[in-house]
Amino acid sequence: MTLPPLSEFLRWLREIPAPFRGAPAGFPGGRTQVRAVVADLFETHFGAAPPKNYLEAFDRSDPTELAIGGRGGDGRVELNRLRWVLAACHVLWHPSFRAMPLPKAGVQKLLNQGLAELAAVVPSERIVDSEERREELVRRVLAALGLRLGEETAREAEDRLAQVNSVERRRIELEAAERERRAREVQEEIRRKAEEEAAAKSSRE
Amino acid sequence: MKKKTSGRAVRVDAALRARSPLITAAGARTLHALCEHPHAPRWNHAAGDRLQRADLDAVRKFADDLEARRGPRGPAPAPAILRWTASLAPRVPTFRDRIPAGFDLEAGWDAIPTMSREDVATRAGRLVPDDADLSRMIVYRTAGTTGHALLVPHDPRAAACYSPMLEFALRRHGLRPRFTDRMVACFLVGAQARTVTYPTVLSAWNGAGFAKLNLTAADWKAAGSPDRYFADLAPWFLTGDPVSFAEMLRTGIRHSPAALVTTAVAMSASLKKRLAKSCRCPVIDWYSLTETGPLGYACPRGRGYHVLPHDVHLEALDAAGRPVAPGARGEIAVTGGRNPFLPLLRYRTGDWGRLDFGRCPCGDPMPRLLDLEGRAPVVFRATGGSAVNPVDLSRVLREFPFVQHEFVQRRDLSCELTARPIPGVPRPMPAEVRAALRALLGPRAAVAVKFDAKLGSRAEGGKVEPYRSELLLED
Ligand SMILES: [Zn+2]
Repeated sequence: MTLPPLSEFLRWLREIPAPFRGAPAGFPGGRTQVRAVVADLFETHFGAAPPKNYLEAFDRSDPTELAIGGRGGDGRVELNRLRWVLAACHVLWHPSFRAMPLPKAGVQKLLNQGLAELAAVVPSERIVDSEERREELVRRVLAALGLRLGEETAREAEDRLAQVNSVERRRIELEAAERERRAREVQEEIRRKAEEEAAAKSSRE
Repeated sequence: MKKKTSGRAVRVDAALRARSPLITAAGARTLHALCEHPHAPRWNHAAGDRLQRADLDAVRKFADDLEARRGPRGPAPAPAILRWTASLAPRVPTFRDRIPAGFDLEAGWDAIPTMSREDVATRAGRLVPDDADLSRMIVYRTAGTTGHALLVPHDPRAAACYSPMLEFALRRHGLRPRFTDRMVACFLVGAQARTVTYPTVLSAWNGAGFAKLNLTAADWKAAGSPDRYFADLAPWFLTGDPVSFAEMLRTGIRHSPAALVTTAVAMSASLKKRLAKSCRCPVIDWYSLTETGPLGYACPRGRGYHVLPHDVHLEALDAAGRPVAPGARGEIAVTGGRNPFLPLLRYRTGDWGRLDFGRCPCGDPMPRLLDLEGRAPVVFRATGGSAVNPVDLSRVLREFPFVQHEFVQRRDLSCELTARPIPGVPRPMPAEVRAALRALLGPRAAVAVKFDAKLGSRAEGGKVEPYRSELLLED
């Protein structure tokens, strides 16, 4: 069974239906239950929904949100991540995937970890306005499924994913000197704030 | 409160509003009562929870999740922990150093290098995410008794999550706290020569009063003041450590709270019994570190400590950072948590214990820490009988040029300090060191001071125990 060319997946992703594009439930104006979408996807491909503690990853009220509150804590990080999850689910709904057995572990890992990593560095708006990010998503899905496009060798697929990999690029872009400067600044800020008033804490360590 | 606060309005000024943005009119009266009571201690700080409305919503959500997301755990990290780690890996310098791009966290977890206190002490800046907004960062200083004080970056939201965790522990022990802004919820009791003290209200507890106070006589107007203050303000429960609670008994405070929540590690059974009897309430053990926040609470059936927060992953590790066999003893390491400025990745706590993932008859599905051995509380006494906290001794000794030291107090209250001076720096006079120690231990305390340039070199592994006491807490 050969896969359609990349252009077909990109078209499919460009034409992402409204419920997969909008805000997930739990956010202003949001309706799509990401958890239900993921459960449905698993039931369709694998015959059963994943366990409860896995599905919790796709509710808004995830502990992660609180933990990344440093950014403003208004849920933007979670909103971003869940939008990437919806887009990836849409890719996984492509008819060509529904006709073949998919590796469950690969899908599980992609939706939970792979997209968390991607969403940490790329805003979900890029799904709509960047062809390269759409290609990255398609290639991440293919890599997670252990599949490649008919027109490519394994080596070519790997090279191309490395080229569009945002997480890799982030590592390279952040110059070592720039990073060290930021770390020093933060360290200085910690020292400065240590002299200020902290917040009340109700128990002792 | 037994003494009803009057209905008259108390002014909330800008400074108070900045500290406690959600303070209510009744809360302001409660705070006023805490401050203005004729037997109130002298406060040396001002602090509030700094919570905004959105923060409070997040804290409430955390409280809901604390119940809803409990479940069995295993030695491997749960999906939520893997996702949390994946999300931080590209953005936190210390995580980037340890986790290459595309690393399979699930398969390679055990190979991720561990973090230690050293990372927080010397490289805390590398633990803050690249994109973190530092404007709301606050910093706690832990008064460690080993090495230097630690600066722990934190945020008001994460600090406020202590409150629902305390409530959770209380409920698991059959208590039903209902906090309102017309009562005092809790006193955090300390017994140190010097520590931060302040009264405030906590919006996570519906604006109920809270005070961090110190039992040292110098903070109070008269000998009977603590007893009067506790009786009138009537805090619903108390938090503290074994040393402070033992001191509370000695000071003659007769207030009977609904519970005592105590930092747990190594509170002797006999002190616990005495406290429970004298306060006529349950004594609930609690395991928490400044770097990690609360980690465990005593199982109500006495079967160790259940992991308290749902958003952490605990491991027991060997010296090389590999997980020990299931049920075996290892150093407790923590991943996760909710401090946005101090994400923990396999953070070694320095405490040892065993992890039990089996079901517990008490009904909490979260795993348990058994045989937890931490830093045992060490108590010293001044010649007058009052407790002297090792933290205070540490503050005094830090002023002298010592590489390390051993301080021992015998049952007859005599003390002996052995210190290893920093080479090449003029040694202090022993009389000088003795005088500084006597400021804490009493002007007539028997204190021997000697120098030993080889301290720590000969002993097995060079390990020196900085504080040792032959006294028992209940003495
Ligand atoms: Zn239990």
